[in-house]
Amino acid sequence: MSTENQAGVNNTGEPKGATGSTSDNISVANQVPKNLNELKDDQVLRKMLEQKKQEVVLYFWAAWAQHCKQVDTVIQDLAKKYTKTEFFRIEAEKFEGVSEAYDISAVPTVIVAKKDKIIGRVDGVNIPKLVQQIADCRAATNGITKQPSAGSVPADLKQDLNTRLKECINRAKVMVFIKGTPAQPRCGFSRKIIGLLNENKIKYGYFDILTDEEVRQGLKEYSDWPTFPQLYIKGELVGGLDIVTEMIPTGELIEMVPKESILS
Amino acid sequence: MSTASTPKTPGKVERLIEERIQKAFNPEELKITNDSHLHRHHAPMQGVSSTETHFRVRIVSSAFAKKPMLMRHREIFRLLDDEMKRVGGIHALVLDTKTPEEVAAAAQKTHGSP
Repeated sequence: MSTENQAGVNNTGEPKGATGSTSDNISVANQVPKNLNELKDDQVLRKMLEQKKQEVVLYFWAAWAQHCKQVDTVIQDLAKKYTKTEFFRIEAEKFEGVSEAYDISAVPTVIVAKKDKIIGRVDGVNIPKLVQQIADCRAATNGITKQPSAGSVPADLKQDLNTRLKECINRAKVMVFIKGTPAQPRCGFSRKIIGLLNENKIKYGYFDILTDEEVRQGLKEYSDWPTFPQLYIKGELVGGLDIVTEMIPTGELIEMVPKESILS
Repeated sequence: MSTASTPKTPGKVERLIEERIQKAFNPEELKITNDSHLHRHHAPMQGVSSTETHFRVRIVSSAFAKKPMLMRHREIFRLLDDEMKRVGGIHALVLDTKTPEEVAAAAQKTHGSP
């Protein structure tokens, strides 16, 4: 696999660590690359997007979302590989303005931004897609057409379906699986459940099951629930539209929703 | 015990639903409504000639006592699992599951005290 950073010297004249096999990369992972920044001030991000012509990778994470750990490692590896690209780790709940601007309702989410445009987006833990997107965006900047594959995925980061489903369910504290999107629901029941969440001022993440047949069928088995929409709170199935509808007048639903997910 | 279904002659699937629910829950009240005609033009429904795809079911049974809604609905889904998995089978099921006590309590609330 080709790497941009050759073993050599970086900007400050210090010798870089040698990049070797996959296992070497993991042990060297403790050195945080210079192009990987933890966002402290959103003005810094704004300036960078204004000034830089190249793409900037924005990785939205949260401490309570276990599955972010996998993406943490991959982002570090990618930052080491693409030294000319700036990477930002953004704690989503601390930077609500930025999260809203990029329509982030669940974590982990990775956005590839160029100036004021979004040229790439990966929702959830999808390592192959993440690696591919960043490679594609870099290649596009370099004027190279899309490459078929951009590096190997370490075996320990491959996921089985159940892990993927568990991650999907936990991407936001209140997570709804619908047909279509909140803006364009493709089913009356999905439309209604979105309406109820909005009316009750509940912040939620959503997943459009029409875009992913694997998740659509997998979730039915995983949760032993044959229909959509499905509402999960803190990783647990609450039910479908009829259950959610009944839980509203009794106050049961609001009771289940964590405080942080209620819009003031 | 009263059983009511749509005015038209109930189809095969509707009768199957009725039969299985009767057997499993011995309900005080069972009402099945076939809403399929309301959804005929949906993309997933095109090419499906079945007219028995969307149902609303109301069941009042003491078999639901002490069971949370999630559990009640899951039991019903399990009961009709094969019909839901069959191509052209049940696509949507809206469920209203109550115990006789819950119905009485709800009636009290609406006709309640001044």
